[in-house]
Amino acid sequence: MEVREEGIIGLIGPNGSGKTTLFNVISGVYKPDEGEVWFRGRRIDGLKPHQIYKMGLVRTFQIPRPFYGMSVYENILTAGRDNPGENPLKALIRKLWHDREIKLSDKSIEILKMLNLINNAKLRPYELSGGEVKLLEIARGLVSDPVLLMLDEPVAGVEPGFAHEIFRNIVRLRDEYGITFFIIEHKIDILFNYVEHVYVMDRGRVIFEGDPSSAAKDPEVIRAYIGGEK
Amino acid sequence: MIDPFIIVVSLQYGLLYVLMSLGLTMAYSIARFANFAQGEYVMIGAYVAAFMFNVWHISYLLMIPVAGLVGSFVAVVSYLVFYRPMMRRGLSSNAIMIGSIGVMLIYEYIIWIFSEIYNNLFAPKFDPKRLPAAVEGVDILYLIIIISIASVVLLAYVYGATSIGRASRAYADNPMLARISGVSETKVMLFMWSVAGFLGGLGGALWGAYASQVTPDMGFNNLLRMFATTILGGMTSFYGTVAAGLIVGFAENMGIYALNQAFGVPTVYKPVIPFAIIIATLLIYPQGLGGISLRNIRIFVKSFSTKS
Amino acid sequence: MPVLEAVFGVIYSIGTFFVIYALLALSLNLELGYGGISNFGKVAFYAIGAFAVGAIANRIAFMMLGKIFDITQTNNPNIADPFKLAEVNSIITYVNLNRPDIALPSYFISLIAGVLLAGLFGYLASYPALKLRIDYLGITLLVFGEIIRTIGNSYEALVAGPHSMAVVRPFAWITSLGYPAYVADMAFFAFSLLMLIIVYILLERMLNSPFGRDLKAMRDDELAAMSLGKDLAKLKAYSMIIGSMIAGLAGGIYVAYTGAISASEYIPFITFIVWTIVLLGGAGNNNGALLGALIWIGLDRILRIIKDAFPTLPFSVDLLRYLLTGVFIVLIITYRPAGILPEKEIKTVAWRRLEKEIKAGGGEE
Repeated sequence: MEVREEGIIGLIGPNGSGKTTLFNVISGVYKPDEGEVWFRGRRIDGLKPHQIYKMGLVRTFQIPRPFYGMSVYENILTAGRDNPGENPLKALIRKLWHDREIKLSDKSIEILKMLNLINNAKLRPYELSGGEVKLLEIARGLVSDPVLLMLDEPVAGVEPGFAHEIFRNIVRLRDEYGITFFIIEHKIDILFNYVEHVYVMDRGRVIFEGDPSSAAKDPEVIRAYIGGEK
Repeated sequence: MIDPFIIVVSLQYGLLYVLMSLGLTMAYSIARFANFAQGEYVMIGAYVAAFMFNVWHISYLLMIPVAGLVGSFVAVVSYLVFYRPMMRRGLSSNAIMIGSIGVMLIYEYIIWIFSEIYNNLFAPKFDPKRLPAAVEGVDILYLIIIISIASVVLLAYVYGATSIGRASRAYADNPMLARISGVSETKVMLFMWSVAGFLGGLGGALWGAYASQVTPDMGFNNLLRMFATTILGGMTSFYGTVAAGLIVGFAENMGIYALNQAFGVPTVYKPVIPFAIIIATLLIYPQGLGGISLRNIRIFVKSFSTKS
Repeated sequence: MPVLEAVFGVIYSIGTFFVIYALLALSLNLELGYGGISNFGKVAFYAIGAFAVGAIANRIAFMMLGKIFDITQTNNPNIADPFKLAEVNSIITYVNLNRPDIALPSYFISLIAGVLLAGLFGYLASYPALKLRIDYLGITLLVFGEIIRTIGNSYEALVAGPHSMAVVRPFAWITSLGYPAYVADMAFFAFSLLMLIIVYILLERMLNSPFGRDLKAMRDDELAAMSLGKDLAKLKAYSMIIGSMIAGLAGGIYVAYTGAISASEYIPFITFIVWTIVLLGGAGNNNGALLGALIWIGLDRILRIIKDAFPTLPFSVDLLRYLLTGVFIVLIITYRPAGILPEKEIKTVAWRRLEKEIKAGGGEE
């Protein structure tokens, strides 16, 4: 599989086809039994998740994993990268991380506004609705200055009008900042409006790759879905 | 070359560890937490037997099963009064373990306070060091062997062949599935705790006679060695615990003997051997003896070669 | 004035104990409340600090006197010789009262050594913290504490094992200058209070930061924290090193306060006390740690008062302390595991910007 830089690539397939497992392998949560994963000219399979994150590859989780002991806002701030204040000795000297913290806070607030979460910023994740927690998951991915952002079902549980707005923002972020997106999604009707290339998986294998309209017509793809669920 | 006395001692320790630790394994397997109070069921059993023998001159042989029953009672009460409320609040395994430390402290010091009160107020005094070396003419060694082997065999039968045993194993495997299939969680729990406490009390009575004394901290002192047994056994494995108990008993006694003879290591370091077993098992092969299978060994060996 | 003496006496004993338990609680709060590390071996690091002061300070003092420090039987370093020990005790007592030129450097050098040594062991302990499940980690660290205690008790050349050995005290010489005893006591109390204040300020600064957020993230969800770039090995190492250094400091203060060291004191129950304090006060909140320590000291005082008021009770009131600790643990875990004080937000400059933003937004729907 190949994800072109600055593209918006989709990954679909029936339940259990291995999409999230693939994300886990790419992001270093699992070690592959065979095969290789390359990112920007470097081999990354076998690396730890935090090392892969440092290279610019960030993923979100299908079932959101917020930090329940912190507020929504702190959750997002935590996802920011390269903050000198993360070192305990440097943390003692505020001057060393003040500027980075300001930039991070501005960006976080901007993302909160974009996702309509600004009024919930001080709440704890368990006080949010299911859809809002999903948005928090996306927000953490966005604030981390990714080169490649892998989103796992970003709009599940989000009402369609807003889902389209999220995807419009994804396109805008790609256009403005050059972020590459690799997106797993079940709502194919929404996804296909925004991706330029899509991979289809079934039972652990890639069964199709191409543009969305061809995917919709491909007999293999249709068979995989009718056998499973839509 | 090897003093046969050490072998006998190791055997007695090992069998007693098996008896005392099975309850710990059962609790971890079914209630899913490391029960620090298990050592107190042992201690209470030992105290009951010693007290009745000492003060009211009741036959110690009779007191052994009574100690078991008392241990059983205490374990069930602990479940109903302490652990079930904690479980009902959805506390994590680690949190309940912390709670069990509190339970352990409560039992240890209630017994301590009561024995002080008793000795200050009543006569005849309770002498925690006056215990029978032979029970009704039968040497402690034979009692330990008979009772522990009988218990292991009985337990294996009960958990293997009876319906409550099958229900318990199903519950240990997958609690939610078992509940949906009609297994009564309360029955499984009550049964498990009564058996765990019974074995603990039994072990306590035997231990008291073997050691010729009971002390309020014998629960905690033995607890860490019981943890060594259960952890080496694989936390949830019945046969693993049985094998591990014997291994810990031998490693501890023959080990310190060998170290003492060969390197002059003082015998006061004996407790370090079970400690080392705990740390080594958890860091090197946490699945323990019960986790030994061809697949696991392959994974274990592989983990050395593909370290990045 | 006897009233002044009594007041100072109370401040000294209650105050110093408060400092010691507060330090231990802050240490555990860092590891557990922020880092999510279940350190059931807290007493081990406390003991390492204590042992370091006991073993090193005395040896330095002897070295400075040109004497040889020897407390064990001639061919057996595992067993103390009571006569040699008595002689060492009297020499140390002499140094404490008359030789500030020896007592001060001996104590402070060994205190620093103890803190660093405890930190080193904390670093070693972060390896199992990384590898093991939380309940297995607790057992492992508990066992580690017992190993430290066994070694301290059995290798009597170190700190005379269970026998009480006198320890260098930094300010006892003040009494020899003619001042009442409470002046030296207050000096020591001031020193220990200063240590607590410094540790508290540094911790609050260090934890109200991105580092603090990273620790909480690791505590709440290791997988998500990893996936967002947090190096768990480093974070756990930082927690354990800093936490253990603070515990070591507490140990070094404790032995100077009592003036003696005995390895048999460092039992798991001390760890359980610290856990009770942190859970009661509220894990994740440094003020909670202080509050818990205060409550504990208060309870201890009440028990002492009961003990003095009812000398004819048929049992030892000290045992009640243990019983009550158990009761507390059960009650807290069952009914209020979050403790008294809630966890606070990490308020960096970012937080203030958010508040400004929300106010400017005028609170839309």
